[in-house]
Amino acid sequence: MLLEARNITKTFGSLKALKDVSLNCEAGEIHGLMGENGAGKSTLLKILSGVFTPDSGEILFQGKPVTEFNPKSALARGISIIYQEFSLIPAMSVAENIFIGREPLGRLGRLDRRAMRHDTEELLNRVGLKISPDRTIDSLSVAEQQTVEIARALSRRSDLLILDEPTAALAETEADKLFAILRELRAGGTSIVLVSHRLYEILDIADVVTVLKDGQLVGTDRASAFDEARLISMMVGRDLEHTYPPKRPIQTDKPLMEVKNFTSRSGAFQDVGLKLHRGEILGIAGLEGHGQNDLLRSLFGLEPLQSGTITINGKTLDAPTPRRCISEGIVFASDDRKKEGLILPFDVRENITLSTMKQRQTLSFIHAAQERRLAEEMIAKLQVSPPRTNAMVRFLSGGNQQKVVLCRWLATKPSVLMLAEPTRGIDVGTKIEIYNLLRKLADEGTGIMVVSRDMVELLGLSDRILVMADGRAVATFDGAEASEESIMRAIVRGHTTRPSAHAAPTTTQ
Amino acid sequence: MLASRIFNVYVLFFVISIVGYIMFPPFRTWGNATSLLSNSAPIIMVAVAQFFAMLVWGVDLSVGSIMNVVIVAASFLLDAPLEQMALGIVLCALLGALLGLINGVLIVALKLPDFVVTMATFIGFQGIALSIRPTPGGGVNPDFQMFMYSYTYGLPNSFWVLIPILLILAYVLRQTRFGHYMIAVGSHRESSQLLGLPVGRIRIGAYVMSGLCAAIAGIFLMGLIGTGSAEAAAPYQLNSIIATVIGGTSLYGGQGSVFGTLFGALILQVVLKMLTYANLLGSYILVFQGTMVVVVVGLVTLAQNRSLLRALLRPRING
Repeated sequence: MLLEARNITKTFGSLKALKDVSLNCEAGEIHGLMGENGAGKSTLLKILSGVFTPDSGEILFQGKPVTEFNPKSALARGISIIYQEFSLIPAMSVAENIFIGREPLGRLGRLDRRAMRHDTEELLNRVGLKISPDRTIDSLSVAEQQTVEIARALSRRSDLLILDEPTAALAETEADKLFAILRELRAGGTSIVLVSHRLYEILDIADVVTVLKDGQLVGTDRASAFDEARLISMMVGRDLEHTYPPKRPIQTDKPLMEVKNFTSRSGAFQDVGLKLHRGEILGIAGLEGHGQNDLLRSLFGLEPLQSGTITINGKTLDAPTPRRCISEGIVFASDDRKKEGLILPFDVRENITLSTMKQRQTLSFIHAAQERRLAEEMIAKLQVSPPRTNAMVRFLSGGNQQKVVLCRWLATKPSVLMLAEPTRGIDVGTKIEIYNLLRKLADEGTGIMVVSRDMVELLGLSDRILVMADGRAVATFDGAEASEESIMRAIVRGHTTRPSAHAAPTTTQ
Repeated sequence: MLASRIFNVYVLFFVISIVGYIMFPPFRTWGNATSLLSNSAPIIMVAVAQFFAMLVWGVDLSVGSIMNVVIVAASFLLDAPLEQMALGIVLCALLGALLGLINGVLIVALKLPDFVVTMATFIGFQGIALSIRPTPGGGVNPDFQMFMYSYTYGLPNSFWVLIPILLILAYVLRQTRFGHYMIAVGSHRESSQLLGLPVGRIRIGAYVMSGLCAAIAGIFLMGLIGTGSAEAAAPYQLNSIIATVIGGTSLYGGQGSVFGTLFGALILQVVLKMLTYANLLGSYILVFQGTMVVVVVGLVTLAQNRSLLRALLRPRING
């Protein structure tokens, strides 16, 4: 057995990220690690790669117990990890990146660049990447960067290679190429732990599959013993109907908000158009980093636009700013609650009343009693726990922090509520409360837009789903008809056909 | 991208020199040009000191005070026969490195922001210098001062000393593992951590380099002024930052070069000289210097942030 992790537990504050999880990996095995977002996969990977130290449990690598948890000793042990956000130094060359930390030295402590270049060429040949070792990382495509990471792991002669969602940002042909390399590595005796959300990929390439859910081990088995249905039910562990509130038909004659020709100045998205109706929850799906989040941010005026207009309440905004948006009833809850959602040094009341303070002031004096009443009302409505107006937000759990953010926006009585990753880092119980709350708001007439990486969540929550790929709206689905597969197909098609092929940016299927 | 920025520093130096040549007749003599160069050694070295701190995404607000401590120490150690003086120079350099080490250790071990620690040591080190020499005094071996003011092959001796020092520093930066890691840590601290680089030690090392270079700057300055004044280097603090930024060092770490910094310092020196030729009052020169910081930092930041620049230059369709 190459790797044995036994009964690993890890807690962050009040969040139990891993409970009693075990994972075994044989030499020359591809081990698929699956689970929803927040299931604990990344935490487990980061323990294996030495970023986190487990609270309890033990890890044996090549039969020896691991006692030191830091990236350096994990690398020395022969464990390489490739994160979704690569750990390459963008301004340095391919060769410099591959040999960073182990540069061959010549005389006078001089870096032996010739040897680095020579060995890099050999490594790049092995992984089938035809680029010069002198190219800088920031001039490479995402797939090329990933291959450089793999070449680096190869050069370290790693016995265990960990990949965290390596295909998330790759087109299909690139993913195929990656898998060919992984199979070759397996044939050479390297073990691979692979995290992916794409079921078919895992079933295709993995020898053994482990499923995590809410930080706990659901099961481990040979890949041949799984099919997609069994994997999904293990990952989800519940029926969708029970988790997500029922949907109602939406009146679609007159849109609440209409967005036209939205093009970002940074190039994150181009020519996106959409309509949002009263009482509708519109989900925005796509692979991470394909413009979904940027779209919401630009709608709220956080990122500059090249072109585009928002029409709401008969008014047209062509240069949205947060202030203008709020006064028109458009609000946005960022995925980064700590940085962009909350004022951490403030207590719950101060956070809730911040955006509406102006309505209750006299000559800039704050009405303490009114403030407290509003906060109490909102806390009760959203069941923030603890239900105290003077609790410090920094000590609340992720779920309650998110509720405080929502409290604040709901106090402005918005007509459009936009949320990015509304349930990131939130436990299941609170997730369900938030789903119910969003549906209730929709039923009261609010238009809601949600960006989420969690496809199951989008499917369960949304009345309609807009799919984005490469910054373009490539398809819209009715919530009842959409499935993970149909969305993924739309994404893949959106990738392979070049943008100009889309005459109409939104096509209903 | 890096190459183009250094190129810009050279072009800027060239342009400013031409402007000076045309506008101010005193610039047109070889003697003036070389005297400018002979006075530039301290600012060049202190800019390089600042460069090492900024390379690892830090800043060293104490370089001026380190220079002052070294000047005060030099006023005791360098007032001696030649062999002892040579030992004194080594001790002064080590003293600077030690002060830099204090900065680095405080920043890394206590996890305090770079500017807070170096602001505190800026005050503290200055206090040390003043407590040893409340009023100017002491001196250096007259031969040393003579040497600093003399010329060989038409160029000041300080310049001939400076060039090999800069070449060694550039070698350390570009050709050794330590230099390589400073660039990596400066441009991507988090990745460097994940890659198992000794990030803390590299940052401390950068501050040691900074202290060492500031000490060398102090020794150069001592060679020019000849008396131990605990406040002699005060103007160098701000100027070191201006020169480094003009020289193309990124405010966000990881980018820049020793020779770019050299030219940044020379540009600053030429501009300041032009201002004195223009008969500006000292107080106006300060206003100008302050304005220059904002303009230069603004322009450099724009140039480094290409997408921002492109966005600003591109006409908006729906404005």
